[in-house]
Amino acid sequence: MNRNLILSRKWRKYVSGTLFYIVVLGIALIILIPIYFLFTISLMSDQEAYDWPIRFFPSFVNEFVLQEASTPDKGYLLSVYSHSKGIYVPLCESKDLDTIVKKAKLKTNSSIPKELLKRKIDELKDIMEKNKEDIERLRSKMTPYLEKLERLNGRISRILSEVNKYNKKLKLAERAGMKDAVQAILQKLKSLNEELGELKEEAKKVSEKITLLNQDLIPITSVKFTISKNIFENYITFFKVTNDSIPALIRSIQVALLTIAISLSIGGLAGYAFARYYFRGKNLLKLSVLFVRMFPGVSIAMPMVIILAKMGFYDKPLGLSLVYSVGQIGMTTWITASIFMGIPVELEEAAQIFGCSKWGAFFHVTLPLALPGLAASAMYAFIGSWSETAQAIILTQFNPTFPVVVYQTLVGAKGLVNLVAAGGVTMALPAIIFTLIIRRYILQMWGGVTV
Amino acid sequence: MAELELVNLSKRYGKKVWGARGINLKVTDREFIVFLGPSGCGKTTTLRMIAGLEEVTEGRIFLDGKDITYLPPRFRDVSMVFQNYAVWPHMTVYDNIAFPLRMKKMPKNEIDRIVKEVSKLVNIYEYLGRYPRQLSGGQRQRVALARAIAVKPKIFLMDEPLSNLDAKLRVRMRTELKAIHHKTEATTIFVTHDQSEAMSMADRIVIMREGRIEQIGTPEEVYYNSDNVFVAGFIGTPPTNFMEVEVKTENGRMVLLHPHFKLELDDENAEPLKHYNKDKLILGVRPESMVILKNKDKAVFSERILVVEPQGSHQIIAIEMEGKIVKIVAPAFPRYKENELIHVSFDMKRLMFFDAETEKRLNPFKDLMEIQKV
Repeated sequence: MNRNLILSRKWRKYVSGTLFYIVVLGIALIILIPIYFLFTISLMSDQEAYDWPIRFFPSFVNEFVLQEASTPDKGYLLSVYSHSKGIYVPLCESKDLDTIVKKAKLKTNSSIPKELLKRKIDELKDIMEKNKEDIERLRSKMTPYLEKLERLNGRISRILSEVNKYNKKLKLAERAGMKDAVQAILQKLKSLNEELGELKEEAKKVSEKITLLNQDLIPITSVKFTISKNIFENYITFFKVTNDSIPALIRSIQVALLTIAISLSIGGLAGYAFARYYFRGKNLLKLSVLFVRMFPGVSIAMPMVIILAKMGFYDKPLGLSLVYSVGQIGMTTWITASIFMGIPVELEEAAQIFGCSKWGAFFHVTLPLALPGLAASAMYAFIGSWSETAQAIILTQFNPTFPVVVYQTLVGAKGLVNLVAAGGVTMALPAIIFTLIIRRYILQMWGGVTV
Repeated sequence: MAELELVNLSKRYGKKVWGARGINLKVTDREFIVFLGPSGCGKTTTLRMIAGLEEVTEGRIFLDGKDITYLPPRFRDVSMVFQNYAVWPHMTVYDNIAFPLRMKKMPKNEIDRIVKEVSKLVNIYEYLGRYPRQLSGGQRQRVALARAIAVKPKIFLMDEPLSNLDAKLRVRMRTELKAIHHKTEATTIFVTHDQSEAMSMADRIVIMREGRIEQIGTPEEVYYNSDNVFVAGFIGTPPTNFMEVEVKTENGRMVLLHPHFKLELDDENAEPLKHYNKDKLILGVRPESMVILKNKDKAVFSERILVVEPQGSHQIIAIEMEGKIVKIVAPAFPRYKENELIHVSFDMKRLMFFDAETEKRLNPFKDLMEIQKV
C-alpha cells in the first residue's frame, strides 16, 4: 500500500516534470521558430525559400545541369537541383546566355560566369557529338513510349473529368431522392474507377521505362556543374531594389533617438514627480497618462498629419518622433516612477544637507542610481519607435522610415519572401544590438533598483 | 561650535494636522540633546525643520544668532545621520565621505587627509575602498557618521541612527557615539524613541508628545522630577506605577485613600496638597520606590504576587491592583514566588502627585542633591 503510494507519487512527479518541460519546449519553439524562419529565409535563394522547412538550412552551393532545349531552336535548358524534390528543376530555356545568367541569379542567388557557361555549352556539344549514335538510338527507342504515355495521360484526364461529372450528378440525384438513378450512377462510377486504375497502372509502367532509358540518356546529353551561392545576395538585392533604404535606416535611427530623448526627458521628470511628491489627483493623472496608449496609433496619426503639417514637421523625423513620444511618455512615466520609488528619498536629502541643491542632489545621487533603469526604459522607447509602421506610413511621404521601406518591399515584391526576410533581419539588427548593449540593466526596468 | 535656538517653531501638515507646535528650545554649545517621544510625536519633524528638509510653518530657527529658518539645507552648516544610513550606494566609502568636502571645493590633499582622519576615528579605515553594499549595517552607520563628522558642522543632527541596528550593536554604538561626541565636542541633537538610549547619552532630554514639548531636563531631572504623568510614564523601565486615589483629611492629617490601602501623608508630602481642592489625585510611584517588608506592621498594603520576572541583578515583581498591573523592583535576593503574599511600603520622599484632570505635577521638584543624599 505504502509502496504503491510512493510509486504513484514518483510517477506523478515524472509526468508533471515531463509535462513542464514539454510546455517550456513548446514556448521556446514558438519563439524560436519564427526567428529561425526569418533568418534562414533571408539567407536562402528564391528557389530554396519555397522548400522551407524541408530544406532547413540555407545551402552554400547550387548544382546546375545544362541540357539542350526540347526543340533546338529554343537553345539551352538550365536546371537546378532541388533538395526537397530530389530532382533537377528547370530554370529557363534560352538561346541568349545573358538571359540564362540573369534568370539563374534571380532564382538561385548564384552568379554563373558567362565564360563558364560558354565552356559548359562546348562540353555539352562535345559529349553529344561523341555519343551521337547512342543518343539517336535511345531517343528513337523512347519516342513510342513517350507517345504512348501522352495518349494514356489524355485518356486518364478524360476519364477523370467524366468521374467528376458523375459525382455531381450523384449529388443531385441523392438530393432529389431518386434511388434508381443513384444506383445506376454508382454502378457507372465503379466501372470508371476500375478503368482509371488500369490506365494508371499502365502509365506507371511506361514512365518507368522512360526513366530507365533516361538514365542512360541523361549522362550523355547534359553537363553538371556546381556554383557557389552568395549567401548575402538577398541583402544586397534588398538595398539595391529599394534605393531609399539606407537613408531610411538613418532616418529611423534619428527618429528612435529623438523619441528616446523626448520621452525620457519628459516622462522621466513626470515619473520623478509621481514618485516623490504628493499632490491632488495624482493617481488619476497617473492613470490618464496611460490612457493615451489606449488609442490606436493609426487613429492618432490622422489628426496628427494636420497638426504636424501646420507645425512644419510633416514628413520629418522630428515630427514622427513627436507622435511616437505621445505613447512612449506614458510608458516611460510609469517605468521611471517605479524606478525612482525604489531609490530612498533620504539619499537625496542627505545630498542636500551635504552641499547639493535639489537639482544637484538629483544629478549627483538619484540620476546615477536610476541610470540602469532609465537605460532599460530607453530601450523600451527605442524598440517601440523603431518597429512602428502604421503611423509612419501615414505621417511620411517622401522620407519614409525603414519599417515603411520593408513594408513597401513586402507589398511590391509579390512573393519574394526572401527579400522581405532580408529587410526584416536588417531591421531587427539595430534593435538587437541596442538591447545587447544594455542587457545588464533590463532586469531593473520595473523598479528592481538595488540600493 | 554653536548655539541653536528654536523660537515657537511649528509645522502644520495640510490644514489641521500639526506635526510640531510651539517648540521653544535653547541648545548650548557642545551639548548633547536628545529628542525623546513615542512615534508621531513630532521629534523627527522638528529635527528635519532644523536641517531644512521640512518647511517651517511658523516660528524661527537661530544658529549662532543667525536666522536660518528659510535657508536651504546646504547653507546651514549642519550635518545629519539618517535612520536608514542614507549612504550613497553608487559611491565607495571614501567617496561617500569625500563628497560633501568636494562640494565645498576643498583641495584634494586636504580632503584626503580629513577622510583618513575621520575614517580612523570611526574605525572604518580599512573599508575605504568598498561599496556600501559590501558593508554590514553597523559599518554603514559608521560611514554615515564619518560623513557627518568630516564636514565639521556647527550642529550634528541624528535621526534615530541606531534603531536599524541589532540590540547588541546598538548598545555598543551608543557608547562609541558618546565617545565620539566627547572627542569632537560637536553640538548634537539626537532623536530616539528609546528612553534608555536617551537616558544613557543625553546631556539634556527633550520629551515630546503630539507635537509639543512635555519636559526638558537632564536625565536625572526627567526621571526623578517628572513634570507630568506622560513623562513619568514614558521614562524608566518598568514605567512609573500610577494609582488613582482619593484625598481626604482624617483627624487633621491628610490621607490618600485607595481601595487597597490607606496612606497617611507626612508634613512634607502634605504641604503642597493644601491648596489642592479636587478630591482625587494620581499617585505616581516608581517601581524602585516600593519596598518589600518582612512583616506587616509598617506596610502600606499586602498583596499576592502575580508574576516574578528575574533579571539577574534584580527582580521585577508584578502584582495586580484594581485591574492594573503594579510593578516593583526588588533586589535579586530573597527570591519570591508567584502567589506569595508580600507586604509593601513606599519611599515617602519619592512619591509623585499629579492633578487628576490636568495630569500636572502637584508636589514640587526635589533638589537632586537631596535625592542623592538619600
